[in-house]
Amino acid sequence: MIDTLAQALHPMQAAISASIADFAARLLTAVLMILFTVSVAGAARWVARCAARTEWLERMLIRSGILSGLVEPSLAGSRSAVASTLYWSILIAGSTATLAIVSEQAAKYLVNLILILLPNLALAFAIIMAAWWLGSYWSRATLIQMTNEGVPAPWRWAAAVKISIVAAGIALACESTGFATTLVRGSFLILLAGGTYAAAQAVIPIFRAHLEEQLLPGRGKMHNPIDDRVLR
Amino acid sequence: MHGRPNPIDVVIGMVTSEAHSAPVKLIPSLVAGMDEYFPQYSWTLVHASSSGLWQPTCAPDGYVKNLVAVQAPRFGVHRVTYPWHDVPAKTNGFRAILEFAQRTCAKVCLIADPAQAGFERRWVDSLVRPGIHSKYDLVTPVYSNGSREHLISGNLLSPLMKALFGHGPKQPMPGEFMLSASLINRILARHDWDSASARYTPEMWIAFIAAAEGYRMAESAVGPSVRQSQAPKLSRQTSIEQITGSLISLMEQYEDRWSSPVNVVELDRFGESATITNLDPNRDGLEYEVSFVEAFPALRGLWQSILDPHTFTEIDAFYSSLRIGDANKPFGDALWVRIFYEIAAAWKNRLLPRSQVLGLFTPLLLARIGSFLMERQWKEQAEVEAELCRTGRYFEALRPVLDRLWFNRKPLEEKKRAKAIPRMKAA
Repeated sequence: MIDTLAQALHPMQAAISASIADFAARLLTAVLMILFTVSVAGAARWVARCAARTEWLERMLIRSGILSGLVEPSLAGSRSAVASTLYWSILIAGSTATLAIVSEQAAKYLVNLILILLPNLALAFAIIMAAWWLGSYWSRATLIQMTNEGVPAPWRWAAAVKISIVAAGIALACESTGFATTLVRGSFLILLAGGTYAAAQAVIPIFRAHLEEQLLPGRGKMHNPIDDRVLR
Repeated sequence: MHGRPNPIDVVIGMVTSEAHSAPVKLIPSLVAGMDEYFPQYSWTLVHASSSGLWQPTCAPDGYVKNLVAVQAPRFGVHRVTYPWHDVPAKTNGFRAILEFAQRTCAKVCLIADPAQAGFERRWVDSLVRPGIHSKYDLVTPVYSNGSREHLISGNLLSPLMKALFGHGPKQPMPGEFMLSASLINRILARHDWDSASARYTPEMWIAFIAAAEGYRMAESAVGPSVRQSQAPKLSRQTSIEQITGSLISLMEQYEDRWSSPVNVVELDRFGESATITNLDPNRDGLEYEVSFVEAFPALRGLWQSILDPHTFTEIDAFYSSLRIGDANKPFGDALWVRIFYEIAAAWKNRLLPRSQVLGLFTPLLLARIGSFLMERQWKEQAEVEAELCRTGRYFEALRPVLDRLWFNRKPLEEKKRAKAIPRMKAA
């Protein structure tokens, strides 16, 4: 009876042991692959930190004005950014390959997900970053201009400009990814209407003052008669 | 103008916008000056339009008759324009005049400002004689009221040029100046006539080039400047941004020329200083200080991001004293010089977009000018002159700060360099 039971269980045992052996082998390979990937990524990061020539990148970013006011540009900072990008790229590629060894199905799913989502996410991220940068730039420019022209409450103008541009960027990003489009579009329209009303309220007195200045020159500081002689 | 005119010794040029009529007020002084001081020289008047257009009401024949009727018709009156394809600018007029002077092989060219109501016949002698007899390349006037007016020149342009190149005119943006043939050739050979510095501040552009390239410069004392310009004025902010922007971009253009320390020498000066007139003791700098006080709360964060913390602390202290009503607290020379050097370096290194850096400088400049006027309201002219000289010395003494910030040099490199320079000189 025992022999019969053993004979009955033998194929099952063989199948289980084969599965375990197969899985263990794949797991071992995966662990080795992960270790290898981490080592390669670490080495690449170290090499990039030591030897990457990022001056051109830094110069380009500074000249384009992209870095203005956002971060303080430094050689160490850009090298570190390049090295980190390399490190994570190698790590993600290695992890995906490792996952394919353990479970081909899961790896396929992950790759598909990345291929579908990544471009959209990258686009949305780029739009929001661009909107943030533009908002900062125009908000600063507005603040300086309004202050120097003596317009009251210049920081409110600056904040309004920044909020409007960033909101427009978020709306555009959501539109591009198809995320809550109706809600975001509605919110953006309400915000835009409020901003327009506030701007109109603020512009009317300035416009009136400008008209007065044009009709009665010399009263304001736009046409201060002593300026030309005193300043130059 | 077609063909090649006969050689002329002196070309006298005037630039007006199309809205202006002929500069008839200036002509008698110019003619009398040339007749009295330079009867042996041939000369001509050149009237250039900055816009490239002439008024239809001012037909050529009537126009010339009008001008010639003022004095004996011994001199020609030429109307010239430069074919422009852009917005009207004074530079177009200058270029047309200088090209005319080059074509006629003029020895010198005197530029006169039609808006200058204080122009006298002796100004012609003061400005032209050093060029014709002593071969100076650029002669600029020293106005007798210059130290209380023309404050950007006195507080910034002139001392900075001296600190950078070792010499420079006291009035780098005069309405009247004289150029030699060699400087005219050099200016006309340049390819940056369309640059912002040439378009917005052509006088400073020429003076800076002459100082940077080592041309012989001299100054002549003339009377007080009384400009009565009818041209549409720019806003204060725009004017300041144009001047400072031009200055710093010229610094960048010539950075290889001023990268090493220099010995400062004063320019040769001709003529006698006239008695000070037209001083208005009621003119104070309160208005400028108020502009600074209004701007401070809004811009303090941005100033902090581009200025040294110590510099900002001092600005903060100045603001605090103004807030409590102490309008006589001085905006010190050292602080002023450090501010400009740090702003220039921020512009160069693009810590913020360049136009915004210039915008941030405007209230600080107004603070300095306001404080300058408040402090010196009742002082004698000689005292004011001496204090401006002291400001100049600060510009020279703090040059290492500019070098360090502008060229991103570390202090250690500066020390090595300072040690190396005497060795190089000895070698």
